[in-house]
Amino acid sequence: MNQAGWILMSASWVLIIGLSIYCFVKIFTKRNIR
Amino acid sequence: MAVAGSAIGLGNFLRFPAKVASNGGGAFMIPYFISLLLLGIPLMWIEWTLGRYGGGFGHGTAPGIFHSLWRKNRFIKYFGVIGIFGPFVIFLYYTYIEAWTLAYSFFAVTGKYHGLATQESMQSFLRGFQGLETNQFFHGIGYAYVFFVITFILNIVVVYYGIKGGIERLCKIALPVLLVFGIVLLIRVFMLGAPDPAHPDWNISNAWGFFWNPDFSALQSAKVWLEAAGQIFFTLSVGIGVILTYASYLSKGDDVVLSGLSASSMNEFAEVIIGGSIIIPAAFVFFGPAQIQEIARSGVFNLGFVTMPLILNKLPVAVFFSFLWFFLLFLAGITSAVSLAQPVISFLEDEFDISKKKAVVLFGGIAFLLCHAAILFLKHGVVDELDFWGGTVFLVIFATIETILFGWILGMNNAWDEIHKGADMRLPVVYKGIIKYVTPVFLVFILGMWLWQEWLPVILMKNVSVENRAYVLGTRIGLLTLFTALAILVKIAWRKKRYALERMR
Repeated sequence: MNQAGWILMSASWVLIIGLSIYCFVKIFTKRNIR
Repeated sequence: MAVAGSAIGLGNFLRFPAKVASNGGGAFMIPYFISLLLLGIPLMWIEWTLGRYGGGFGHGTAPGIFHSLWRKNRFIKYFGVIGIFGPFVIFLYYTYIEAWTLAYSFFAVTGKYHGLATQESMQSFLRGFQGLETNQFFHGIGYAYVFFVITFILNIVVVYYGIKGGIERLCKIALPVLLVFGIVLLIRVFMLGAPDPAHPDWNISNAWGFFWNPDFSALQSAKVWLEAAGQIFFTLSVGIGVILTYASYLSKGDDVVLSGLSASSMNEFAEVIIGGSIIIPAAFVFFGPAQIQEIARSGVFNLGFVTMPLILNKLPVAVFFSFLWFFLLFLAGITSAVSLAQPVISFLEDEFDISKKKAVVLFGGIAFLLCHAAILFLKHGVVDELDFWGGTVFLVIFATIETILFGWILGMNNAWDEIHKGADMRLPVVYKGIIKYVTPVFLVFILGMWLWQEWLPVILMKNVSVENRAYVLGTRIGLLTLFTALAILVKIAWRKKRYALERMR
């Protein structure tokens, strides 16, 4: 994998995992979610 | 949570890897992520909000919701027909692919593909199962058809009685188990190394390169952009009309900002971190860069069925894990299939005042007949044709219309207030500009670029082999007929309502 590939993959994983964790935390601290 | 269940499905584990592979691996990923940020996530918020807004006027599907938004325009409801047409078309082939996952879980238990260790044998197995050839594994389409009938009946039964009780509990367990199992498989894929000594360059490092190394020249291809946007829509279930129907049942106090963002992020986790990261690298090390693209192009859902048994056969207790993988996919497929059926059923209930049970029976009867086009003419490219129009082009058109309605007809200030009703968090203000300007311009640009580059060859079927042209043309005529029939139903429903109103006066 080249450098651009690493950057693209890392950015994508950070974005997805970061958003998932953020949403989980938000869901567990709130009630009116479907 | 229901939408996360509908969003996580076969699109993540079967369609996404094939789309990445057939569009040249890393070449696909930049348009894919740009589409996620500028189209997918904004459209999630738009659809959740529009659905809840329309629900307040007693409409659960796009024709009624669009009409509620722009009452002065008497044609706008016909644009909403796409929001019923799209999920119906996808349902027609999705059920058949879902049936394959059930069949493969059954074959895992009976050991039918146990011991097959090469790409040729697995591909031959799949082709035999699909009825494309007669071989030592299958002598016709019988197995595939039996599993289709079982799957179809199960889907309709679940739609008829609703996802409640045992099935709801099963799906709630299945989804986390699928994700955990996916992580285990991901670790196994990381340890594959270079399984074919004859091809040391078919190794896991190059496999990740194939998946992620960007190819900037591909950014000029309208088809790659359209396919990437189409995959985002398909996988998030946006641009289909499904979320509109779900969200129409919400109350004003429900948080659509967080619901939309959670469903998107969970879906992307399942798609990129699990589905793509297992199947694409594994397919690369087993088949090599040229073959992986050839398999993906042979059918939009084929790659997962050829690749996964090869990986699963390398695990201890392969029978159990193979069964588990395909059965979990089947359960994920049920929740998605049920959500695809909902818009048509809600349309019949809302606009024709017929009972849910009658609507389900009517839908089931018509869908059962129409599914046969996907089953019997698979080898002539009918599933790919349905997927291209129903699962890609019409999604982009529908998304363009609803974005314009949301940002320009409802008005961005009203839309912004509507999104935030019941929401804990505020969206970044930059999304106000993105939703109003960037998303519609981007959608129009993709469509325009595609029309410019591909319109004529697609219409003239230049890329379709001569023997398949009659079938592809037949599929297109069938789609046009279905669309026209739905548009006529909308006209009848509105005429009935108008007469009823006039009588009341």
